Amino acid sequence: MTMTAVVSIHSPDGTAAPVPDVARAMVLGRLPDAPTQMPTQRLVRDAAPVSFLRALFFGPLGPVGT
Amino acid sequence: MSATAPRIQVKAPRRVRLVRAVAVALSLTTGGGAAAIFVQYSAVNGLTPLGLVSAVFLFFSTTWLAWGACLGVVGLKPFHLRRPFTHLPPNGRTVVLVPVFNEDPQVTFARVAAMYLSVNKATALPVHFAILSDTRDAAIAKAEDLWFARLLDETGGAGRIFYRRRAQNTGRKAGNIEDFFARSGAAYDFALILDADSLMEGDTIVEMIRRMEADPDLGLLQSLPAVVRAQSVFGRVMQFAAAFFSPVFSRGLARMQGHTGPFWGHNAMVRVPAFVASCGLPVLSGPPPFGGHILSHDYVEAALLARAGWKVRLDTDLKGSYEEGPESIVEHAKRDRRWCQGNLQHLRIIAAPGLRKWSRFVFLQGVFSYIAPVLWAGFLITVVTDRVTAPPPDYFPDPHQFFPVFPSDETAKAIGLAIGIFGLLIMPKLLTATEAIVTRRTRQFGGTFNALLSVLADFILLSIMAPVLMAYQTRSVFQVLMGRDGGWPPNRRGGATLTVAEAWEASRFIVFSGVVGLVVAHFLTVHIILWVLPVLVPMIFSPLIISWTSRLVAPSSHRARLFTTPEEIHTPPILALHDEILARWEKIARTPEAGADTPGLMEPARA
Repeated sequence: MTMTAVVSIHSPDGTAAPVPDVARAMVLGRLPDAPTQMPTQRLVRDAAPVSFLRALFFGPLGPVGT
Repeated sequence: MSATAPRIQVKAPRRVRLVRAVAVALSLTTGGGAAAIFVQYSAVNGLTPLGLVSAVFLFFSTTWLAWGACLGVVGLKPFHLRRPFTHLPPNGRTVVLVPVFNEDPQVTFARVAAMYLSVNKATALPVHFAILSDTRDAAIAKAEDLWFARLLDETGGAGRIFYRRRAQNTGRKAGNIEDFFARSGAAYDFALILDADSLMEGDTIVEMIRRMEADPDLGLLQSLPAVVRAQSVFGRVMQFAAAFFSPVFSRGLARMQGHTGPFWGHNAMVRVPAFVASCGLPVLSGPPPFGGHILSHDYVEAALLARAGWKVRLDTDLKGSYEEGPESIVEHAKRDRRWCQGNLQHLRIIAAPGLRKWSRFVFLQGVFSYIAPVLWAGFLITVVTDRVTAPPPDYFPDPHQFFPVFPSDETAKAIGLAIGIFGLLIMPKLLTATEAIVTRRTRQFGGTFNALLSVLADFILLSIMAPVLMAYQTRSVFQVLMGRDGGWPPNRRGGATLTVAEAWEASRFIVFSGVVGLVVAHFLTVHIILWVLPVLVPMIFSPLIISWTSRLVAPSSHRARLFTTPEEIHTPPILALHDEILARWEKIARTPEAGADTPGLMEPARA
């Protein structure tokens, strides 16, 4: 027997949101409700995009903190 | 729950660092040597700026070739088998993640059914499966719903097999997995990340859990998936090459990586707390292709795990891990376009703080793997242009001399250089073939004669296809540099023969480039035409090559036996089980009660 339960959808940042359209966002079978935090890692400085040549020859703008 | 921080900051062992240093030095020396010989050859008629540019192109291209050869040589010696680590039953809470995006749910969910049954046979540990759908096509989404019900009925897996579909596929596959971890990650110690076309034996999954448990500092364990079920000429050539050559090159990679191994995005197990703490990917500033979401997220995640002090390991001795590959040059080129963009995007993060040196080097390797064909193309173009624009030889440099001065004949150097470069191309394959004979690995490929014949045919076919693949890669690189985002088109799985007309549509720019090259060579530098014909002729005939290599090969035909792989001789249990389930489901889909709307009758997802 299929266990069907519409639970919720989650926004891209992982927070639960009300279900606006059950047909488009469905959850069949209840996934474990065990949230975690995925801290976003810093990889590059949030500056203006670098050009390819600049990135190639001078590196993508150096250290960027934590 | 496993610890969220590794106990040690892993450093590459001394032996690994020595192997890396020797390989880098050898590659640079080989590249430098090739460039020096070329300069000597070119200097006979006076070295021009274009000649110098050609030498630079040749230096980088040959260095890259030599690096590949070094990987092959380092990987020649087989590993001692690691398994079994322990016979103790595993107890880590594990979930198998199957991200899907507009795939055929009948085939994909049958894979999940097979793996679920296989893992339950292998262990009493309750292993969960989560199908993470990013499907955007409403009809396919409906079919996923129905086939999921069939999957639960078939396996009795309610409560252990889950399905969810996101309303928006933000962040593509990486975002899909991140979404799962954000809501359910704390429930698991380990997650086996698969692709929609992945298959893995239950025993292999259990063995991977054991290995993760045996080393608490191991953040990610990558298996080496074998390519299976290829049906076309192209698919079978690539499948054979992956089965015959990849283990050697991957061992070479594994010996050089130390604790900073690769992640190829699938058929790998991650330690969930480590992954969650280390691998939250940022959205890069600016628009695609260099900004936006990170496209080739797997390499970045491996680098981030290593940055946080976790080991990332490739275990080439793990068997029972499978994937499917593209069946035509065009499908290969489409996937390659995405990988090209992803790898070039890594230029943005190659200098990110705290990364291990090897991680940066891996990013650089990825970039090189895509610009290498451009460098070869640049070498060919500058050499031809240099010859066209070169002044005629001056036989009387002194106006008062009586006898002409002939330039010294350096043809021998040019031929020696060509043979050397050809040797770099073919040597790793010859050494691998020797290794396969010595270790009797050839028996898995239909015997020594059949294996060697396949190696020869592989070399010939790849030589014919190489200029076509080079043209696609070159176009991809220029598209990315011009800022064109290739997006993430769905994969077209399974065999699909392309007609010559379809192939022409996909390759007319290659034909045009080849014809222009031939005309230029014929009218301007006819004496070097023989040197460029091996490149230009396949380009001109690329529609025929693409169409012919996409043709399906009957499993019983002589040509099918040519590229025999171990999985074709002995069908792995998981493949047999998948076939069995799929056959049963296809019967269900064809029953009159199922009706015309039955999703089993649906065509596979098309790009």
